Amino acid sequence: MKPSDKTGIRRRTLLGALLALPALAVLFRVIRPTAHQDLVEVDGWILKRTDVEGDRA
Amino acid sequence: MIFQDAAQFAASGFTPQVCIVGAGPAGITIANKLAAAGIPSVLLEGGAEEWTEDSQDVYRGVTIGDPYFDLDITRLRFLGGCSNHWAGWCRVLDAHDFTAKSYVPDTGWPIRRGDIEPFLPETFDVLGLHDFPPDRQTTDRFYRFEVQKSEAVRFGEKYREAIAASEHIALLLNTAAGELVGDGTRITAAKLISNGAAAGEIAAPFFVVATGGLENSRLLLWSNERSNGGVVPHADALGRYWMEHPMYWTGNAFLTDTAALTPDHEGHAFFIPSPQAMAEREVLNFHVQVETMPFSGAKRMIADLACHAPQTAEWVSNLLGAKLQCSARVHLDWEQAPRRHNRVALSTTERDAYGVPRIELHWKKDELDRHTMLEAMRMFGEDLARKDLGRVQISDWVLNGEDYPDDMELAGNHHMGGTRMGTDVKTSVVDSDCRVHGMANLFVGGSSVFTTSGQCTPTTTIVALALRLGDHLAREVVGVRTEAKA
Repeated sequence: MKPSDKTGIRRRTLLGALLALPALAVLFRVIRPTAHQDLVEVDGWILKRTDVEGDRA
Repeated sequence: MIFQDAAQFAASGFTPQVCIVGAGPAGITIANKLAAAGIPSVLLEGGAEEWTEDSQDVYRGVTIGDPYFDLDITRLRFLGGCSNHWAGWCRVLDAHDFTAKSYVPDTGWPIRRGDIEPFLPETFDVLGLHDFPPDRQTTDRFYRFEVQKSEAVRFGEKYREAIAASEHIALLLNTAAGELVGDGTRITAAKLISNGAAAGEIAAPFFVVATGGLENSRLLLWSNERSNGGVVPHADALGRYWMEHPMYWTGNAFLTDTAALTPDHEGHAFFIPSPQAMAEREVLNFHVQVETMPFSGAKRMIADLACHAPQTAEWVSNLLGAKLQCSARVHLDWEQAPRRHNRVALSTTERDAYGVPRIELHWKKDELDRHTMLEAMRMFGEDLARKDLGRVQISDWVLNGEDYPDDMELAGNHHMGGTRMGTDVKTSVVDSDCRVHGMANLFVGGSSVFTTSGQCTPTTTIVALALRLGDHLAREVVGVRTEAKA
């Protein structure tokens, strides 16, 4: 069954919020640089720099 | 023909050209190949047609170093050998697995994949496989590859009737080679133990040891000791360079595009690095297995939550009565470096019921294992993020170099090395034809000849190498016959 648009939006919102959680970790955890300028490692998470810095990165 | 003991066999008058010690996947495959060429062989099986406690007891031993499976559990001693508990996952070593890695000593086979490729169609027939599709590049450095989860062939069950009806194969059950007797250039006989008692000797123009990736070393070490070096005259590497495939759950992943990973019907997707990627980080070969979570709807969202806020998710998870995790788990299997100190040795204190020293397995993972595990996860995580296919979290114990977990599989029950293939007698035991260096008529079958292990399950390559050895032996036997007639 195709999910309703409303469910889809709620899901995207929640997942967006979840993806933002590692960003909070940045406040008290060390960011490890990776071999790539556009990626960072935060507490074992391999993230895009934009995941933690938003579009400013 | 099938005989229940050595006395029954002796009375038959059967005259083998080849004596094959061990009736597992390699031994049975070699016997079949020889039979197809009309060459008679005797196949010695230490166990019976079914598992027995007494037979299995011969395989007890100890491991010194890292925790490992009990040595009488990780292998089986009855007709069909380890195929009786094999899971059926298939894949052939890749071409680059045969070449040396400049950053890892003692790597590189004396043969290339092209040397076993002519035997792959027959291998696929034996194992009931279809052709492998080409690996598909998923990210810059990773390829999605197919592991064929076949219906595992139990070699004893599959070939028993054909062997019973064969004029060219004499399967001798309940009968082991207690030791081989050699003079430094040839094997002259094998001393038999049948139904638990000494049962004389058997002679043949050629001998093949195919008793498994641990037992091959044990039999040759013991025989060599008894023959004062007459069985393996160049024994520097005998028992050494033993390898496994360590495997652990090493992280979690949040997938943004599961379909792009094309999981199989069990929700698994397998990835291997390119040779360039391995060289870039100076790691050994490995494969990443992504296990996508079988949840949907609310359960899936909670499972996703567990990735990011495990404590928050825990109570919801408990409420639903399910152990929910991230949207995917990441499992890593990797190749070990061949190290001299990882070895099969003979116990100086413990012997089996027939007086043969038990195995003392010295096995320890090292810094390269740690490095491969961590950098493999980093590379995979980087590629998934850059392609926006997901985000990977490396488990704390991997990241922080903590002890390996004791509640995971540890390794693949893949016993490789010990009689490895090579050209240098200091670092190898058999040559590119699987012939023991310096011995005219002694060959080795099975994964103990692997020079390096690659990342994949070994059975498919074992069967391909066994077919190649059977083919080689058939030609050699015919050559000897022709010389004799001339």
